[in-house]
Amino acid sequence: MRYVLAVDRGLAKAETVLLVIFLGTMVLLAFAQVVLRNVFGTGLVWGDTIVRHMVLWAGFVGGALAAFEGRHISIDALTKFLSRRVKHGTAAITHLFGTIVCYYLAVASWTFLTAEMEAGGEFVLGLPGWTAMAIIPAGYVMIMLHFGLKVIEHGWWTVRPPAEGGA
Amino acid sequence: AQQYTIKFATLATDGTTWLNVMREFDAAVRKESGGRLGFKLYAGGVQGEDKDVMRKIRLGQLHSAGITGVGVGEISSKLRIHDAPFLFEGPEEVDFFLKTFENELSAEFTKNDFVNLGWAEVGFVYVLTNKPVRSVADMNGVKMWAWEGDPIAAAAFQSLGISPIPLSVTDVLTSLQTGLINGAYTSPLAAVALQWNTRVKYMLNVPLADASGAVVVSKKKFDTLPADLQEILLRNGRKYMGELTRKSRDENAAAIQTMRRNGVTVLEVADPKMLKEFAATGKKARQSLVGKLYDQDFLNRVEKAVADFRATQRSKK
Amino acid sequence: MATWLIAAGFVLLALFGAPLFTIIGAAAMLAFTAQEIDASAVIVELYRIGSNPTLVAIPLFTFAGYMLAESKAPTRLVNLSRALFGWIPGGLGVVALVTCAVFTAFTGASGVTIVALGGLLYPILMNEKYGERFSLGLVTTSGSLGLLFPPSLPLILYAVIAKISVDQLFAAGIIPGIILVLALGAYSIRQGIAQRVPRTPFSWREVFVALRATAWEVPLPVLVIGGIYTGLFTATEAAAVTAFYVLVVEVFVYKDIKFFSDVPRVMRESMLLVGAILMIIGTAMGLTNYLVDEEVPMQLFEYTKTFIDSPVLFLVVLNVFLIVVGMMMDIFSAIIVVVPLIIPIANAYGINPVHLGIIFLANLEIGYLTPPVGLNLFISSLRFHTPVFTVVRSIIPFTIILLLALLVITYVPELSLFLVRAFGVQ
Ligand code: NA
Ligand code: NA
Repeated sequence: MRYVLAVDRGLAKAETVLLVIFLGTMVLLAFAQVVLRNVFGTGLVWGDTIVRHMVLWAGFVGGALAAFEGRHISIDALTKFLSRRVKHGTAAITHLFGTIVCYYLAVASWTFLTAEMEAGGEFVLGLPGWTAMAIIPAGYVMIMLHFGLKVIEHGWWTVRPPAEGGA
Repeated sequence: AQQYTIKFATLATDGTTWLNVMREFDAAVRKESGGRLGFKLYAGGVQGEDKDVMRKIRLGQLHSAGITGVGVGEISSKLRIHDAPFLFEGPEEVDFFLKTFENELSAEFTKNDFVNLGWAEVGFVYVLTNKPVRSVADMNGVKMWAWEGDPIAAAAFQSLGISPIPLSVTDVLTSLQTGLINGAYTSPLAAVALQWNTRVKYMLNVPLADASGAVVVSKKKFDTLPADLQEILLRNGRKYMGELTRKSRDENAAAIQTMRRNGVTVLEVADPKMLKEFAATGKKARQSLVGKLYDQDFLNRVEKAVADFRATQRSKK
Repeated sequence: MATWLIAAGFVLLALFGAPLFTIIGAAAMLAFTAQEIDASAVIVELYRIGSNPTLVAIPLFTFAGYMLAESKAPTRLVNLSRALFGWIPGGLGVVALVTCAVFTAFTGASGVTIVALGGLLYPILMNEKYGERFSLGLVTTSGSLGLLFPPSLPLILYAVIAKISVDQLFAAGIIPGIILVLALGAYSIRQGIAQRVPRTPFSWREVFVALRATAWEVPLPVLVIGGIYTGLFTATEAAAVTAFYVLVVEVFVYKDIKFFSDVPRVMRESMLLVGAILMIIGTAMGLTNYLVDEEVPMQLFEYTKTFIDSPVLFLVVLNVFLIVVGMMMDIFSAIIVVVPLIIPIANAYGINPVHLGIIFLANLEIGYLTPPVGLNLFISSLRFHTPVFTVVRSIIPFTIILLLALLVITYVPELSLFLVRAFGVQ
């Protein structure tokens, strides 16, 4: 159990670093475009394209962290009335569902990515088009890993319910 | 019962001539095939822009599309010579080019797993500004919008000596209003449809380029059709797209009149020296796209054919 | 039969807390697969996020909002509003409304307002004898008030999904937003008089002191709106300017936030929300595309046309429908899933698309407060350690007032469209 939690946290730490890089790039590059235009009357032709893709990149890494922290938007109207043990049980099931869905989303993204590789095309600055899209399968895999680890965690707590006041 | 359905997407919206002709095309195909073949139309960009639609065609979700230069370039960048800056001066030259190079262009489609059902140009593109531009020198200081990721616009404006401002199409109208930009380019018909004509004062009556357009179908889908249906599709495609091209040329001309009526001044360039400057800029821009879009040999052959045609036309007059 | 079983399974999973994006994603992939279209069609739609310039505003404004929330800006803002409105009977209520509205516009109606400002205002309101029920109702309601003001996240998202220009929607939201604030402000004043709440006398000195304290933050709305309408930057770029400005001001001028220890944490926190929204946007775009592919919006319209023949009747039905949607879904999912379905119908009834956006968002603003899924009810309940039932009871009078204001906004399109025309941004 300890290892599961450690892997989960380690992954989240790496994701935080990526997030800071992506959001930092977004803020600086987008602001630079405004300054370049108003002060120097010019702009980076590839700037906006990168900024827009950073939304996708930061979004997916943020989505992975949201999976880690259990902060994805959900309706969750029933679990409030459940006992702690049953709650862990249903959480294990919903996370298992999430793991499976993310697996298929990752597969679909991979199909999309390979089709794009075959079609060719450029992103910016000579980079091939698929590099911009690589975050999609990677992101779903990250989310899948977090969900999968949560299945183990909640499954564990369902079988061995912690004492009240515990995790 | 209908055995074959071609799922078709376009940016054109309901009620436009573009879509009306497309519906006529569909009706003709249905009638001649005895109801065996027909289109399922997705209009108004509900399936996305050119690049999205091309992805969906490769995936098999869609089979056919009405595309502009961006989509044509997705099939083969070589085909974008159609949109090259200052290459054509009038519609006769475009028609001549398409006829002369017909086999070579068709082969380019087939080689990339597409069948061209017919060219249907967007039309000649003009520069619209808020300060008078009559020469290359006047371009200096124009805060010109450019469609980001459009290599042709980038090359054209670079050779005109301006660094354009990349914005999305939806931001252009407001940005013309607020002064973030004071220049843009598009076909007259699009300018009126997007209301850009209400935000600019001048139109330079030297066409920047002839924006291409075509109705294409994936070869994969085309090959599933029996030979008689293929023939019906090709013949009618040619017929209706030809009709569409004629109609859209008329409409573009009418749109210039609308712009005039609404207070846009159309600037004519009479001085042959100034015209030569624009032509020289075009030559430079076209040359800078060699290796990126098409090869030197193809550019040379096209330029020569167009120049010869222009000379014979002038001598006739 | 199998379809219904699967649907029932999805609903059950959702009610037990499965992330909505997994359910929407599964539905989209299954639907396409059933039509013998590869599931990667969902991803083709999702990838359109990368080509949408307006979406850039979402992470940037969210980051700026979280920075503000993390700094001492809420305190400074409350002090200023107090100096300005504290002399009015029920003035503190007005203070709460105004500060929350401004704050929500910047933090994107994400619940941050309740946590950051509500936590600050609630004890003050209680201290000054406004009564628990009124105070709780006020801070809970204020949490979503202001989402019609630029540059709020729902406005931007609506513009993205509806494919209309953000600056038009920004201009359109201002007057209806003010109407909502005024309506609740009037109620607050009435309450202040009825409960004989003491007032603070007006003093220019205090206004000046409060103004000086927050001198770097007050110009922000002017910077954003002014910059857009004078052509310095586009509505999307305004987000970049705001994010950069707030970063510099809070870190280097006020020094409320430490660059190395706090900024990465705030970045992470804000991008968690953005990630959660984006995951839903992505899969919902896929599902919507399936509906488009099957021409569902058209069929829906044909069906609607058979029993609704006037725009007025349509608007009535729309209001009821949207309130139900607001009860079931959070605002972001509602925009993404429902907007593509109702736009073609509303168009056919001749409803102005910009006005439709304001109606839609004003409805969902109330949806934040309606059980069972009113997000702010839960946030409030968590933040103030109060049972959800107590929170629900406290917001009843506020909800009624908001509903009346909603009717006005819905049936007087001019309120939304006047500024759009005045700014000349049509
Ligand atoms: Na908020
Ligand atoms: Na709700």
